[in-house]
Order: sequence, then structure tokens, then C-alpha cells
Amino acid sequence: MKTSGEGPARGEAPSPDLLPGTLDLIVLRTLTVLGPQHAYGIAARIEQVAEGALRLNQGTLYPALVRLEQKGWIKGAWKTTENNREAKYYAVTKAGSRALAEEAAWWQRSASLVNRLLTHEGE
Amino acid sequence: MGGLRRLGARLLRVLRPGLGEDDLSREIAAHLALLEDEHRRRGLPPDEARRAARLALGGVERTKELHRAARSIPWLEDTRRDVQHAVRRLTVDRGLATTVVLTIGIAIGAATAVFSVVDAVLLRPLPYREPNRLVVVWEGDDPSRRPQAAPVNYRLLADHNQAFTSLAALAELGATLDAGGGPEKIVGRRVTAGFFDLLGVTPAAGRGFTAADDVPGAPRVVIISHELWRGRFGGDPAILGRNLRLDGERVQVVGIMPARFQFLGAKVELWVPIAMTQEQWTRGSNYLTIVGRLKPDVSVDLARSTIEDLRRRLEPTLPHAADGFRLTPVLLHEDLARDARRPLVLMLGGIAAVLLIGCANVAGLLLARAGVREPEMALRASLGATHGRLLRQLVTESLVLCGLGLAVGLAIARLTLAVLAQLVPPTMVRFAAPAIDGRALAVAAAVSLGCGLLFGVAPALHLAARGLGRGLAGSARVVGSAGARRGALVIAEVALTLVLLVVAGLLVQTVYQLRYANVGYEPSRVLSLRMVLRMEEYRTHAQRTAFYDAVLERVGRLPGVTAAAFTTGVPLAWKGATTGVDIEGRTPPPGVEWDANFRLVSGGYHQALGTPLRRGRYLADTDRVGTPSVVVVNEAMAHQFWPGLDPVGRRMRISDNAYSDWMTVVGVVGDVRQMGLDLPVASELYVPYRQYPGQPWFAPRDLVIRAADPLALVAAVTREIHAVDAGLAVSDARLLDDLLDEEVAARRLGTAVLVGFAAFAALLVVVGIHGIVSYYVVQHTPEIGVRVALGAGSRDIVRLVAGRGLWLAGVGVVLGGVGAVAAARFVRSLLYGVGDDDPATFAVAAAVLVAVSLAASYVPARRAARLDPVTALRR
Repeated sequence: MKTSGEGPARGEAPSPDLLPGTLDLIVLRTLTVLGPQHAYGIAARIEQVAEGALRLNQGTLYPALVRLEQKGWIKGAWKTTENNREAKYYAVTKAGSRALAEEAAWWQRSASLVNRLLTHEGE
Repeated sequence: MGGLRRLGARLLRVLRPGLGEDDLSREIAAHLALLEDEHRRRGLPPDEARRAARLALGGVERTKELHRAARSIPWLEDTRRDVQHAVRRLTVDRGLATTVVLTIGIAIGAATAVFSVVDAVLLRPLPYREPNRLVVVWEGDDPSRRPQAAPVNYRLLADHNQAFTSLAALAELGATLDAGGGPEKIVGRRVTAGFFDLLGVTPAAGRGFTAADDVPGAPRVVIISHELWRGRFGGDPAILGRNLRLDGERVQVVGIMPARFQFLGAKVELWVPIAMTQEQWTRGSNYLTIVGRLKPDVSVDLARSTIEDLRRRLEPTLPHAADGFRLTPVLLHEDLARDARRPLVLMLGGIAAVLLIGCANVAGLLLARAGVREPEMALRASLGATHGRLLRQLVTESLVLCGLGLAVGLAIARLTLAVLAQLVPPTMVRFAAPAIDGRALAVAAAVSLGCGLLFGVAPALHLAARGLGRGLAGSARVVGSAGARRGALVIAEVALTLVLLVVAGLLVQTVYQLRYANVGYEPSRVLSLRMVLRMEEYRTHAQRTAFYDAVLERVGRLPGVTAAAFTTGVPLAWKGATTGVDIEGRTPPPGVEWDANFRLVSGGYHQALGTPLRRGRYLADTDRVGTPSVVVVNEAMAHQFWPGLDPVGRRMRISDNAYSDWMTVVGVVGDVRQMGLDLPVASELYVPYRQYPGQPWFAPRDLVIRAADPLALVAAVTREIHAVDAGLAVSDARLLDDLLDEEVAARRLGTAVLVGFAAFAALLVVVGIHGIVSYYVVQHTPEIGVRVALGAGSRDIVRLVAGRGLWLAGVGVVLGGVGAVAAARFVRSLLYGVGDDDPATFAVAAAVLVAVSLAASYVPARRAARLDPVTALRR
């Protein structure tokens, strides 16, 4: 087990991998905070919030967007940006907000459980 | 919830993969534009900015691929694409696809139909409670002819029973039913009270029999079949409790059996209690069918040995040890299916051979195509398709073929099933109806799936073995190794086809021998009708004789009638009675009782039937009471009792009954197959009924009429009979030809099916040999060109090419000959009048195959002979 903060080393990618399923949740959360946003905007926001701790190929956002859209949690629509370019803006649906609340709660519970188990001192 | 919704969306994308693709391109373009803007804002030159944008996105194509994978189900989409591709290819190769689909379809169709008959007859349980514990118990040691048991033996078995939880007995009942629409003959059974309980079948309406019904003198009751109820009484529920007239007596309907109930009889429509007296139960004549339910832990073999023990214990105490207590239990299902089992197994073997031949043929065709497709496959491999991907493509193609074959096959199975259903024994027809049900579908699907995988994998392995890379350089010559495999396949086809042809040939001769060569009389243009005189009204011999004389007199006057006579039974319809005989001047060896078949007939019987006279004279109407007692015997009897002598003028008598006048043999007639077409003819005597008082229950009842157009006479004959006795039921009007056809119907059908299989197999051989020889021509075109250029004539070329086909056929015939010998031995018990080693059959079958192979190779051989050497050499 490495003790440095790099996480498990896998190939050349130095950045931490996301746990499976978490990207969808992060996208959903980002859209909830920002309001309707296009894929580039979402990617920029995630990189900004992660403060460089997470570097992602922006293309990998697309599968997450497809999954969320197919589940009916977000909805895409073509609009123009402030720079007068056209882009597809995604917005969270009602089902999406509900799902986010449930999933986020579940994540927090699990995370705190894992945290407790990892930090428990023992008698 | 979201998960389910997503699955739906993904499945939709499998079906319509293009949907959203444009949107995605636009979205990615927009994304790149935004990224590019951003990078330019940071001061990168335009080129750099574009590059950086693509880098940040991680590649346009890769992104699209990720998107597709997420929005659809990739493997399913690939499969859909494979299927599409396969269908496209098959529409291009339309001839090949049609051949393959028809081959597989016909084979699968026939296999499915045969399977469903086998399933109905041999595999499915009988419709009784715990049917595998039901046995029938026949008299004697040989149950194959189902000899019925004596009441006394039933009583003994029931009284000392150890092996059965219960036993019941049935006797036949031919009754005249009058339900208001005139007298009608009906087949019924007299049964002991526990019969229905033993089977575990209760009437669908009303009640079963009780012990109180099964007593002599009890009020008469009857249970009718569902089929009689629907057909005769219109399904009227009020029939319960009503009275019918059965043989002139009032009987009350107390029950209706469930639909399709049937037990051991062909057309049994009603059941009455057997209600025998104590005295009747002690009788020794054989007319009972015994059915038993084995105790749970008793096998049929154990039951057999307990009966054997019982026999050893009882026999010393029995009054007449001559008949003895000999009974043989047989499992009911085994007994019912006995006659059908071997033909059905044979048919299964036949269809298996056809399937194998069909598979060999299709595999050959697909191998050839695999050769042709090597360049295509190599191209796809070099463009990045993996081996697995190509294998999948090939398997998908063959599965598509087999799927189509399955569809064709099920249609064929459905069409042929009605015909094949006639192979179900008459004693099972009501409940064992073959159907294309789940089981048959499963078998059909499994077979076609197996074929599909086999055909797909074989060419794929062939390609893999050849190495895909080299195929690109391909020419016709490169694909050589497929040729050797196809040769082996064609040899196998020829061999299996020879086996089928030999077996079919032997069976065809058997049917011919049975039906035409050997019956012993002239069955065409002979009509027979049955009428059973009621004992109460025809108590005396004089009354009966008066009836017969009056009817014969009237019928003889009808136009076109050349001969008419009464008999106790026409051949086959009634298997005959036997009687003990004394031969004057001879005594049987100790322990042997002489007996012979026995018929009461009127003069003219042999003329009506067309039995040839060998010696002396036929019986005549002048042989009556007051003239010397005479008898006519058949050749078998002459040989048995007067070997090497002329029986005419010698005397014999019947030793069974009170009648014991010596009768003089006045004639010898040819042997007639009475008991069954494939049974040896027994000794038989024909006694003029006018001279033989006999018993009312053994009086002639079949009228035979030889006439120019006998079927046109039925109405007139019935009218004449009713003019003599208006209340007499006349039934079973039919031609003796039809009776014979009926007797061989199942065999003829089974034979026809096998002939069909053999013909189809021969057709496949034509396709197979034509294919391989054509292929040989393509492969050897340059060589043929050289030969022609060097002066070979077209006959040499034909000989060279056709020789190739002939060589394969020859090897196949030799190998198949070995198989055919074994197969013929297996069917020996089904043969009659032809040996299983009949050389003519083998020779003809081999000749047919060689001729067929020659014809199939001649066409490509001609084509080869017409090759222009210049073009041929340039290839």
C-alpha cells in the first residue's frame, strides 16, 4: 500500500480515478448548482472545483450525459451561448432532482460509514 | 425506475443506431469550438488552439465511440448488424440460400413430425393414473398376439393375487344399439365393476359402476363414451338416466366418460357391467382381457414370476390340466406400442440419416462458399476485424440460414403431421394425438441451432486453419483443402443414402408381398357386409337357414352379382375360430391335440372370394341336411394331416362339440391369409352351414358378394336383407380390397415415408455431387485447358470429370453397403416375403445411386469439355 496521496497507480494517469458511478452523480450535482449548462461548461466547472486534483478527458463526460438523459434525469436542448455560439444545454429534470437527493444521501451515508471504519481506533 | 427506462432507450438505439448520431456530431463540434475559443483567449495561435481543444476532449472518434457504447448495447447492435449483413449476403447468393434453407427445412420438418409421433406414441405417459404400473395379462407364454384369457384363470389369479393392488377383466361386446334412429352396430366392452377405478379414470358425468351393478340380474346400466354422446346424442346432458335399447333390452345410461378416453380397443363406445354368474366364471374358453395395477414395489418381471409360482402350486389341483393356468403380464404401454415401436424407431433412424445427409450437403456448400469468401474475409481481417468477430459473422450467417430453415421446417411438419398421425396405433388414436407442441418445437429449435453452429463453425475453422492473411492473394487454386473435406462429406452422403434406399426397397417389397402377392384369393370387386342374427329370434338351425337362403336368393337376383355367400367371417375381419379335429385312421402323437381353423360357409363361398380349387370340388348349395356330410380343406390342412396323400374321399370329424358325424373331404382349396397377412396359414376347414346345426352364437354373419360394381349394390343389398328381416342391423359394408388396404395401411404409410426419405436423400446426393464436380472443374480449369490444348477430346474430358464423381459415389456405395447390411438385419422382423440379404435390392439400390451420381456429374463434365483452352489457360 502506498502512503503517498497519489492513490492506486494505474498506467500513466496520475490523477485519481473516479469511483464507478460517481461521475454521473457529479454531473448531476454540477448541473443543479449551475443551472442549465453545456458539456464544455460542465467539464470546466468540474475541473475548477476539483482544483486540478481531477483531470478528465472531456470526452468521457458524454457517456455520463447519455446515461443521465436515458434515465430521464436530465434533458438537453440547443441554445446559443453568450458568445453567440450554439451548444446543447442540459438541465436537471424533476426526476433528476429527486434522484440526486437520494443518491447524494446514499453516498454520504456510505462515505461516512467507510470513513468511520477507516478511522476507528479500536479498543 | 431510471434503469428500466434507460434499458428501453438503449434497446431502441439497437434497432435504430443512426438516431442521434447527427446531434452528437454537432454537439462535439460545438464543444470543440468552445474549447478552441477558450484556448485562443489564453493566447494560443489558432492552430495550437485547435490541437489543444482536441487533446482536452480526448479525440473526436473516441468520444463518439464512448457515446455510442453508452447509448446503445454494443454487442446487440453488432449482432443486429451481423444479421443484416447475413441477410444481404444471402439475397446475393439466392440460389445457395434457397438450397440450404430447403434442405434444412425439409429435414427439420420431417424430423419434427416424426418426433411428435414418437413422442405421442412412445414417450408421453398414458392418460391413466400412474400408468407405468398398469399391466395387461394375456393367456399363454407369447403375448405378442394378445391371446385372451379364460374366466377361470382370471378368478384363480384374482383369488390368489399377490402382485397387484387390483385386477379387472373386460370382454368384447358387439351390440346393436337402437336409440330411435334404427338399429346400429356398436362396439362395447363388458367390464368388471372395478375397471374404471383401476385405471383411475372417472366418468366426466354421472357415475361409474358399483359392485351392485356387476351382479347377474341387476338392473342393466351402461356408460357411454364422450364421442358417442356427442355424435349420437348431440351432447345432450339429459341422456343421463335415460334408457337405451341395447340388443333389444332396456339399459339405463348412468355415466359419460371424459373425451378421448380409450382403453385397448379401437372404437369402443360403451361399457356395461360384465355381471357373470359363478358358473360363467369357471369357464375355460378364452375371451377375457385382464388388466391389473402392480403394487408400488412390484415390477412386471416380479409379477410374472409370482404368477409362475402360482401356476406351479395350482396346476396339480386344477380339473383340466390341458389348458392350464398360464398367464403373462405385460406393461400396458409396451403392449399398446408394441407394433408401432419398431417402425417408429426405424423412421427415427431414417430421419436421422436424412438430417445427417442434409447437414453434410449444407456443410459442403458452405465450405465451398468459405473458399470463395476467403479474399473477403482476409480484407476484413486486414481492416481490423478480429478472428472472433469474423467467426461471429459466419456463425450468424449460418444461424440465419437455419432460422429460415426452421420456419420452413415447422410449416412442413404441420402439413405432414396429419399424414404421419396415421402411424399412431388404432388403440391409442383417441388420446395420443401428435402435435407440434412445446416439446416438438424445442426439438426442432435445438436441431436447427445445432446445425447453425455446426455450419458456421466449420467454415470458420477452415478459414482460421488457412490463415486469413494469405487469402488476399487468393485465386481459385488457393482454396484446395476445402475440396478434400467436401469429398469426404459426399462419400458419407452416398453411403447413408444407400442404406436408406436398401431399407426402403426391402419394405416396398414387403408391402407388395403382403398386399398383392400372397393373400390367396381375388379381393377385387368383392363386397362384404356384416349382420348378426339375434339369438332369441333365430334359435333353431332351420330358422337361420331359412334367413340365409332367402337373402342369398334375393341378392343373387340383383343385376351384376356373379356369386354371393355367407360365412362366419371374411378373412382378416374376423380372425377365425379353431376346433379340435379327428382324422380317420390317424391318431395324434401323445400330448398333442389336433386342431384347425373352422368356418361355416354357404356353397359358392370360394367362388365369391375367388379361392382357387386345387383338388376335388367346391362346396355346393346341394350339400344340405340329408345329403352325405362333406367338408373342404385348405392346402395347409392337406399337408398337415394327409402328407403326400390325396385327401379327397378321406374322412374327418369335429371333436369339440356334440357334432361328430364323419365328414368326407370333397375338395382342397388354396391357402387364404385369414389371421393376418404376415402370419403363416394354419390348417383350415370349410363346413357347409346347411349340414351343421352348430350354435346360434357361431352362425354365419358376413355376406360376401362378387359383382361387377359391388359398391353400387350396397343400398340394394341392404334393402333385400331388410325385406327378409327389417330389424336387422347391417354394418361394415366394404370391399375386401379396402380391408386389405386397411390391414397394410400403417406399413404402407411407414414405407412411403421411408421411400420419401430415400428419394430426398438421393436428391441431396445429386446436389452434393453436382456441387463437388463443378467445383473440381473450376479448380482444374487450367489443367483441363492444357489437356485440351494437348489434344484431349471432349469425351476424354467428360470421362476425367465424371470419373471424379463416379469415384466418390463408388467409395460411398462400398461403405454404405456395409451399413446397409446391418440396417437390413435390424429391420428383419418388419420384412415379409423378402430376405434381409436380398441381393436384387442391394444391386438395384447401388445401381440407382451410381446412375444418379453419373447424371449429377455429367452436367459439369459437359461444361468442362466445352471449355475454350485459351481462356482456360489464361486463368
